[in-house]
Amino acid sequence: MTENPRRRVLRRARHATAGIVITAVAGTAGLAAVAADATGASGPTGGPTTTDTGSRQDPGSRRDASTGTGVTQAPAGQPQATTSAS
Amino acid sequence: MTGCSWRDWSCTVRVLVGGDGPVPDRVADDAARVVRELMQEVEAAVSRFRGDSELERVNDAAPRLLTVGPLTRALVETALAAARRTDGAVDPTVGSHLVALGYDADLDVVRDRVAPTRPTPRAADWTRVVVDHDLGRVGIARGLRLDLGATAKAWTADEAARRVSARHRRPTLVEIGGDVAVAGSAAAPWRVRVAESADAAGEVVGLAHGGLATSSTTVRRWRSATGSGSRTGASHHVVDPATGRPTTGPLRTATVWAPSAVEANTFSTAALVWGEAAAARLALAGVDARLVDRAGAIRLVGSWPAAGRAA
Repeated sequence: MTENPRRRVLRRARHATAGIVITAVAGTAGLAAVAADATGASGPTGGPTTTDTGSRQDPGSRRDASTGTGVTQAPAGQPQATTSAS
Repeated sequence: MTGCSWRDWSCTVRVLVGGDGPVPDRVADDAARVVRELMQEVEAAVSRFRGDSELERVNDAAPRLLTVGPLTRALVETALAAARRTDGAVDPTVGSHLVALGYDADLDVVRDRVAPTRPTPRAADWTRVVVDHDLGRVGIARGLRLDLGATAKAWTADEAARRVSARHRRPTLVEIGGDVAVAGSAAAPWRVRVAESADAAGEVVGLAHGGLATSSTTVRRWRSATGSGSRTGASHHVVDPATGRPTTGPLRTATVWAPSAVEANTFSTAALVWGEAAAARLALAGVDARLVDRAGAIRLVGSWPAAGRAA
């Protein structure tokens, strides 16, 4: 049975619209993923976000993980310097 | 390893240069020259006891802004950074309080007299200091005076150690009145005696990098007509900015390790002001410390090595 030309036009229009919608949704998701990657944001499961909560750690208080504390048990020998009140 | 020491700023100055092989005399001599010259520059810039220093010119000109050199600006910025990091416990505007307590000259002079009574100055407030980077100026509110005693000496130790080490590519230690800074990679940690005073027993620790500083209420003292507790009581140089008076808290001495001598002295001074809260606040700041209370009991904070226990 041949399809009514008018129905054919409507059917093709519906398919085209669905394709546009699908493409738009996929494109939006892709853009969101790119944006999230670029800003370091993450989804609702946690992880870093770009929101500034004002709770940055004082950079001066961070320890150097590669070297740790600078005060240790003293090596053998006489003291070379003194820290005391003067 | 070689080095030399001398007296300046009413305290002992020491510079040690290490590294592989013997250290030529010319290196040791040059190291001492570098430290001396830097100390002279710092003194000319920010000494409270020199009327011609840039700092005193700024103090006397308050509340006007005065053009000063980059060294003075850097040292004032360092002092303000210390105030920020300690929530104002280390406040560079206590200068007028120190003057009111009689500490208006070199300590050797102050110790030989009873300081006269002076009017109580306005409350310290480090937020009333302005550094104008665009025009290279510094200013302070009327009634306040800058005193950079809690940071300038330590800054000098840090900078001197860095300069000597960079110049001769050797590990270097600089000690100025108990503020100890090291720079460069030494084969073994430097051995540093930690004590409340020069003649106290103390303990010896290793210093691999960063700085050590000790603040105490027991040594830099003088008689003052406005001293704490009595009409002619004893005063000391650690002033609580909140009261304008010498600290009276439970700690008498604090030694702190930090990534630099400036930070170490910032927190050792703050510890005496913070008193009972000091251990927690020092731990929060991520520094290591050895605290001595008024009874002589020692408390260690952070990763300070548990070795000697004598105060």
